[in-house]
Amino acid sequence: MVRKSGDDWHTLDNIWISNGKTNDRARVEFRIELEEKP
Amino acid sequence: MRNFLILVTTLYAVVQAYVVLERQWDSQVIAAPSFGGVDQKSSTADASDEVCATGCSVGNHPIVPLTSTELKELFEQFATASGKERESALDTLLFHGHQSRGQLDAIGSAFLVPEQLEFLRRELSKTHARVWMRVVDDRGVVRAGINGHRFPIGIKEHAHVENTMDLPAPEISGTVHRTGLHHLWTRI
Repeated sequence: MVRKSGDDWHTLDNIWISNGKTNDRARVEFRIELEEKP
Repeated sequence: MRNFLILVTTLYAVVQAYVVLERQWDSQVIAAPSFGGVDQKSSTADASDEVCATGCSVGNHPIVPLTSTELKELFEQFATASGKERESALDTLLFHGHQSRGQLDAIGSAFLVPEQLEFLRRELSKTHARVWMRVVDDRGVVRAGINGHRFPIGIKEHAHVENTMDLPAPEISGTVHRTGLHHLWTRI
């Protein structure tokens, strides 16, 4: 995927997660920034 | 034991779904800025040549290097062209940042005025990106994530998630490529 540096959180996908006892719906969120040199 | 198997199966299915989706996308795009007259190449990696932890199925994306003639053309286009052509040349120079950086003084300085040289030197010195990822459940609780992990551009990186909440610690790996002045391509 291509994202603009510094953009707000973007939802990649909705998934199921589990702790071994219960399952929950969750979303995976992502953001990225190009590191500026000082 | 049964719950553990359910967890493993669920995680495996999620990982496989990501791999399939990303590979479909890669076959069409793979982050290749194009520029006039020069054949832009890149290729997907064969995951089998990777040495990674179990469960890591993200391969590197080796980039076919530019020839010195292509580099020369790009520096020249950036120096003299305008509009889309100049933008495309810049995108490609940034995409091939490691190579462009190495040849900036040797090849680029023959075409670039000092302001252009300084601009490219500054942009090509940006060699890392910061990545944030989080898994947020339906109650809004962040169950796992990475917070501004430093990814070297063009090199596969693994991020170990240590702060999890009621969730086994996943491992996140991927590669970031620069595809423009402000845009980054990521495969996680």
